Amino acid sequence: MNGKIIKFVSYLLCISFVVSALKIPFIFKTTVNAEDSSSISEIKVSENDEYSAYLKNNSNYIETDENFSFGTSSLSIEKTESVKVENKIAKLWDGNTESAVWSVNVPNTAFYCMKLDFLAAKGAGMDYNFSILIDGKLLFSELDNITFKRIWQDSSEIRTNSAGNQISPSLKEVFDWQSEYVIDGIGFVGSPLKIVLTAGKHEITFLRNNEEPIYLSSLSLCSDVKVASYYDVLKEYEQNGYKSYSGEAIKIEGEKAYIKSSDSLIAKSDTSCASVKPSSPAYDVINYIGSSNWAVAGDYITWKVNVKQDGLYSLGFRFRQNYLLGNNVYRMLEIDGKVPFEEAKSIDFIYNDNWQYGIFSDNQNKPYLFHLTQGEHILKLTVTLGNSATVCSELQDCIYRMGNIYHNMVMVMGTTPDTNRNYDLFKQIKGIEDEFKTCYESLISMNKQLKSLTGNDSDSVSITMQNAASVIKRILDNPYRTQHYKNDFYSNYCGLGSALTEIQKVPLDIDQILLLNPDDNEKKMAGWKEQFIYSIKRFIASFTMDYNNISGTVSQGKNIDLWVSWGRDQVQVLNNAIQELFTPKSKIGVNVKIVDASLIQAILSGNAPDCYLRLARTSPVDLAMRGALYDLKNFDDFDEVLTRFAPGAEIPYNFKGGCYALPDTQSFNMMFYRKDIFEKYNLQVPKTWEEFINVSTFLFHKNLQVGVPYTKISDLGTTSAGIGALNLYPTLLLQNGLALYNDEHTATNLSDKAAIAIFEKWTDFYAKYGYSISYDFYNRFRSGEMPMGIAPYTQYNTIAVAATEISGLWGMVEIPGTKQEDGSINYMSAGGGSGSAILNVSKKKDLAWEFLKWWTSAEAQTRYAKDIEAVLGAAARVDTANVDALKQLSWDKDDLKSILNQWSSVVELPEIPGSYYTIRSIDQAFWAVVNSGENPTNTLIKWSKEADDEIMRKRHEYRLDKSDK
Amino acid sequence: MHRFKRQRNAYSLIKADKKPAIVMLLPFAVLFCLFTVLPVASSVVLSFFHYDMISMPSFVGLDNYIRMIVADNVFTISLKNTLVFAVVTGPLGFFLSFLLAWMVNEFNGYMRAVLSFLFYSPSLAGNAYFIWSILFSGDSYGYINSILLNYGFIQEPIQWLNNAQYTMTICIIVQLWMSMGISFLANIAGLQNASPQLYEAGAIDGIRNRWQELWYITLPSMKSILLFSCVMQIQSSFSASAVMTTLTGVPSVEYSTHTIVTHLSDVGSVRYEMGYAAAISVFLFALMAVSRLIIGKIINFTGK
Repeated sequence: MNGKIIKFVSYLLCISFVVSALKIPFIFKTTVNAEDSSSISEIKVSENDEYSAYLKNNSNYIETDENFSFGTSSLSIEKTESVKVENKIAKLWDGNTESAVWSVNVPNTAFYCMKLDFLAAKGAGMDYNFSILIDGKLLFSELDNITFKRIWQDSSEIRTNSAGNQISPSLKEVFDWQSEYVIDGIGFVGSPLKIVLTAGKHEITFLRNNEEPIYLSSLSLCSDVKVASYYDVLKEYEQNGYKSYSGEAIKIEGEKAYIKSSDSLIAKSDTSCASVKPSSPAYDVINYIGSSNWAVAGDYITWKVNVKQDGLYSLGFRFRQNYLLGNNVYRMLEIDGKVPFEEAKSIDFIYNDNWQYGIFSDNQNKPYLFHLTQGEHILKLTVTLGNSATVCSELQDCIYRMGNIYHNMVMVMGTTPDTNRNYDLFKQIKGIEDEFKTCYESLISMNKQLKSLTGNDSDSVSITMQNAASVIKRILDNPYRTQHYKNDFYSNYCGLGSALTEIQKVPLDIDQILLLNPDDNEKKMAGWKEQFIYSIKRFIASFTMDYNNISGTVSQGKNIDLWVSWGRDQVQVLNNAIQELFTPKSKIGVNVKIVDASLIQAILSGNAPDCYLRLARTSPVDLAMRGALYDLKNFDDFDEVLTRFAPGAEIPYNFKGGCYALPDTQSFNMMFYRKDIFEKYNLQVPKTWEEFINVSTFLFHKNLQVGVPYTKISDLGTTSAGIGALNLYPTLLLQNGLALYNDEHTATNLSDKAAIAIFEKWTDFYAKYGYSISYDFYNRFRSGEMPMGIAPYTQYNTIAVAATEISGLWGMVEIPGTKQEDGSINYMSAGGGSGSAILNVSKKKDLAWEFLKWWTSAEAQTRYAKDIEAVLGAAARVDTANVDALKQLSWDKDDLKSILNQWSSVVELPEIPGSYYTIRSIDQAFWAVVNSGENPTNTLIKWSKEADDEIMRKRHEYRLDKSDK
Repeated sequence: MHRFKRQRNAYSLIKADKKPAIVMLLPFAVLFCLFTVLPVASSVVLSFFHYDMISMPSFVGLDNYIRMIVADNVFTISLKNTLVFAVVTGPLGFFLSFLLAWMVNEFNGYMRAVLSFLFYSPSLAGNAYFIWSILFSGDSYGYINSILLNYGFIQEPIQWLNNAQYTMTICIIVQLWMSMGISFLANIAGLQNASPQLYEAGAIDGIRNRWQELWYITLPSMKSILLFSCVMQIQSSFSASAVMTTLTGVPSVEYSTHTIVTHLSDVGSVRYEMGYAAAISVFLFALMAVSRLIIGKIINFTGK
């Protein structure tokens, strides 16, 4: 027994000796590096230019109690005269004019709120976004992002399709005068923004951030509306002797809203629960409104209600808040344009998995009472961050600081620090310790605030905060071990970023709003028995319902079969668009079906549809060479239809002189860069590849990375994206004036000397300059680890929507180009995308063509793209191939310009029989060079021969060469 | 009288008795023919044709087979890969799953149930091997890269799944991990079927240790189960493809993990060359049949 222990101990000693021997070099390294103290940097946090700081700096001023209104006579817009529209004098400010200037004059120095009287003019349907300058200066950052909403209404009643499912109506814009305060666009500031104006003349300049036209009638400088607290209001009720309402509850159906502030606020259907009224176990019934579209501060919905009896009412809601786990969601209630009392400014809706019923009441569960007179009233619920707004703004600040800390840390330690080295971070970067402390304290205090709001601190946001705080605490306690916590710190930083976007988005579903008799405490929900029976009915119904037949059988005289292999939500949106825009006009019914089967199998079995949307890039030619698709050039107006797309967008779908699909989506790369980091190092945004490499080398020295996209061909899906979308090699070829295939499309040009030189240049990115091959662009860009990268332009929305903490700190420009002999720069880029085709076996080709023409039109594409964003969120931007449609989506003005600029230099590559082998061969050659350091010339020639062989074989197989005929 | 008649016509009676047997067999036989025999036969026929699923098949004789053996160098690579893969994972996987089953079988009832569930669960979960792609991710934040980087073993992330040096080894490891599936379960069942009386008798007859017990009693008494789990193992080794395609993609770097089945689906679903794909599948079928014969012979050795 003793012998065993001794043996064990001796083993242990041996191992520890080996381990310590391994460590020696690292110890040695430490002593060397300790001398290297010349590079002490300092952490800088840019000055706080937010509203809260502005208020603090100007706390000596009082708020005005007067109201000054300035009409069109004080408004100057270039080349515009006053006109009378909708009973008011106004000036039209259209998209061509950059600014609208109000000249105002106030008698007293004080805080003023701004209130704008405006009428939406017909435009692209986007909300207005302005920057407001006072005497040419931006007083605080919130004034850079001021939003005014367009307003919308249901365009029709709820309709029922032939399958028995209800379809919610689309929205139409309402052109009506609105009078709105200037408020913070993100919602961190709950009340209207106040500015200090000294006595005398001032200029208030509105700068537009998009091109939407608007009628402006007047600007008021006034005080904020005073709202009394509930107990004062209650006293008033008693003084006036109001009586409680005693009748039946008045029910307002959520889905039957009156005005909505966004065209995405469509009524929805949830048939999973018996409590939601109306309900049906078998069919889709439109029965609620809200969800993720009703989540951003400032969005509102109003309902009209007819009250039959004067009196005091309490307010009940049947709602669902299963979005913010463990947190509350807030809404502000206005009745007839007025907040009835202070407490109604932030009604809280608690979390639960299911639908719930609640009465708006105080801490003691006594319902708040509202006085309503007989007649029509308008109830308005506005999204607000309510009591969590202060936490949000503090969290934003904290995340900004942490990001700054992180990228300072990376500059000292690199992305993969040596754990055995003491980086002496607190001395290397001046002030970083204080920054850590500030973050730690603010995290702790935010967590406390949240706890006081929700009563618990186990929700996801609180937990993220606690984790982040504990990591920072550990760093503060053991500064010598910071490198161990780097990854932890980073993941918590990202976590807080998502937490912030999470608590800023506060969705809510409303099924019913009830005006109640104050004594009515009954829970208006289905009991478990009712729910059980309902579930069984649903189960039985599931055997007979065809959930894949989205449209129901269309019994129009003329109809076509349409197949798509998209998600349900997308198809639902497509179907709505068809039924509202296409079928009524063309009198052609469309049977929309979701299929997962391959088109080949469908043709084989004789069940093929007439039309198929969004075939992957390589499919049209693949199918066309087998005679499965119909040549669209047979239609007379084909050339006319082509003008909708970027020039050459149809090239990948050409085969033997025919064109077998219309471009549906098209995407290409843009370059993203972090403005803050570029500014810090005085870097210029690279315009050519030489400059790009220079910037990347500089960034490498700062331990930062750049992203050059490379997608490994891992399955059929990646191949079918098309060769241009996978990596930059085709783009580089194009920029050097080379084509991928020879003119006859019988072989690749890869064994060409110039192509090999470019191949070498391309592999050098990874083999020589060490760019990452696989990386998550979004996360690294967000953290600042990868301040420059090339990515599909659709990343724009993801970053804009999800990475709010860096909003304004990044830009998107054209990809680097190649300098030509004449000194100009060639920005050409290859693209990717999909096309929509008509099947050769179809007997209704003309009808299918009508449909395709409609689907690729700007009207349909815009409608689809907008609705998809409404349903899935703004990150789900559609990369439509229709140029006009893209312009109508919400872009920042400059970014749109860059996108269009880049788009005009997109050159599509042809797809030819056997082209999947070209992609493969390039990929294989790439890996041979990057992995094993093989000679690029030999490798590329070897693999290009494989590709050529396959192309020859296919040409032979389908008798494409003249000699074969 | 009745009895007499039955005796006399014994032969014809047996013949008559077959009728209900055939009727009872019929549902299965029809389905089996329709969904197994017919496709196999049709793929043999199809292998002599050129067929792209849309146009009519045209007869090409032995062209597909000639191309397979002479002209298609990717097929040669895939054959080599399949053989390497099968030779390593087949016996090793079988051996490991038997060893594990033998060890787990030593536990008593409740513990054994829990353990066999735990070991079987990767197979239950379907594509559980997907997690290996996160472990071996080529990103510097991939688990293994991240650990190696953190401890200073490597300076740059290794492209585990994109480097022909590593891909096959990784796939073999994952396949071995996966082989704790059906053959493990079968082995446990087989071990429990071995009659305790045989062990007692063996003890009396002079079995001296557990190895002898295993070799002379346990293994021979579960021969049929061994054969079953062996066949399963062969089938899964030769037709392995999902693991490779999930981890290393299609095509893998330098076709380093391209197996016959991968090639088959590549030819069939990317190039729509159904005739050629059928020829490959016929070849694979023959390959499996031959190895099944060899293994049957080997298993007969147990206990001798």
